[in-house]
Amino acid sequence: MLAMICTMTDNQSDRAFMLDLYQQFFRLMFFTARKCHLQQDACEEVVQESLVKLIQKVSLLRDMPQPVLAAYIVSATRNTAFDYTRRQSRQNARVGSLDDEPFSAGLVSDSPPLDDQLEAAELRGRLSSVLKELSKDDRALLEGKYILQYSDEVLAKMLNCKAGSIRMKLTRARRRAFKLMKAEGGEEQ
Amino acid sequence: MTRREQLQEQYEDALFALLMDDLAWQEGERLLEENERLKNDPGAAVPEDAMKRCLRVIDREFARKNALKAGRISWNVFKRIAIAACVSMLLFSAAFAASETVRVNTLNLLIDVCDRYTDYRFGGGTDTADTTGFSGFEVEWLPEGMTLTDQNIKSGNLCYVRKTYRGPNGEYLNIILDTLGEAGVLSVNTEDAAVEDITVNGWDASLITTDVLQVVIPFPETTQILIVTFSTEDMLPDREVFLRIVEGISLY
Repeated sequence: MLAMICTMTDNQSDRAFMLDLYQQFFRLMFFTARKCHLQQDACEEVVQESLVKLIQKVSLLRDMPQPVLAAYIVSATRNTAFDYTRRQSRQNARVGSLDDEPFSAGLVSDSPPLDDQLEAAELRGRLSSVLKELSKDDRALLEGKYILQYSDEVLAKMLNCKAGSIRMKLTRARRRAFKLMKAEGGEEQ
Repeated sequence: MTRREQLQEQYEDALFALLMDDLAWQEGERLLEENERLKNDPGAAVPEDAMKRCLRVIDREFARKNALKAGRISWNVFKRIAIAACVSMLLFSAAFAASETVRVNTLNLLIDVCDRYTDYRFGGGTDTADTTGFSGFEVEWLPEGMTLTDQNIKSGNLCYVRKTYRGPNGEYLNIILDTLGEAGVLSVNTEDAAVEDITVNGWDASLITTDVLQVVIPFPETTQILIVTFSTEDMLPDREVFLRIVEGISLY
């Protein structure tokens, strides 16, 4: 009984936190959904789905600093909009560019190590603009993995592929991102 | 993959994770500024209805979590007393077979839970001629401003009492005391609802949460059922207020 009372109390506290978070960021969530070129009804559905996902992660969100929390919420909303669009247009794995590439050991060994190419500080500066240039699949995968901290199973469901293939897809997506960042650095020079 | 390739991949994964973490901070600070701008931008306003629907989603999701967690805890407790429960069942089976009174009381209340609705019915065995049922109820507490606006009372063997109350801010309260008898069935809409088992004034009840709040209290001894429904127009119904109303209902 005591455990149940504590559970109820924790949930009330979590609920209060989520209500406060929603009040604080609802305009940003709807704004993010609209930027994904969705109709008003679809925007609302995306925001509602995002809220359900955020509630599942409330223990993670509570410890986040405000800037990271804002980035997480926007990533989650954008990710949900991406997932919504895919469901609506009934895309399958064939559509995504990731499955079309045959596995190649050369992909891993041919590219020189990244720290030989770019300093980490330079990388940080270019990553922000490069993310927007990546394909939707790549961006969703990288944000899902590194910002939203989704498991391979969740990412696989999102991209309609097997969980075992996520590791290689991430490797390819990272390499494409780094390639763009290097190209951007070359243009600046 | 060679060991070196594996290490290289691990390194790139960690490096990218660090870069994305830094990016989250940078982007987050920019997004916080954007958020402040949007708060003051009339063009970024969200329709009030959409706002409320999203708030209901939050309420509904936490009600589901409560019900799930309560179920998980109950399951753990059940596992701990499994052996005692098995022994009890053996003893009960013997008593059930031997005693007519035990059979009658066990089969009095049947609840069918389906995807979209829950049916309440009372099984045979209750001798209603010997059981005096409730003939009405009083509501001892109401939120300020709520008044009785409609009622329907039918006395007799299949007693039925309905009272409707309304408030100045669109509050709606409907209380029904219905006598189902042995053949009657009551269906309650539980589609997409969070259903919790609670106790009110010592009675076993079900709290059903959707856009409205409902409590269903069956009385197998009298084959009667009490249904209390509470909703509001412009805001989510308050659970604590609702439970206080229900606790203030006295049957006679």
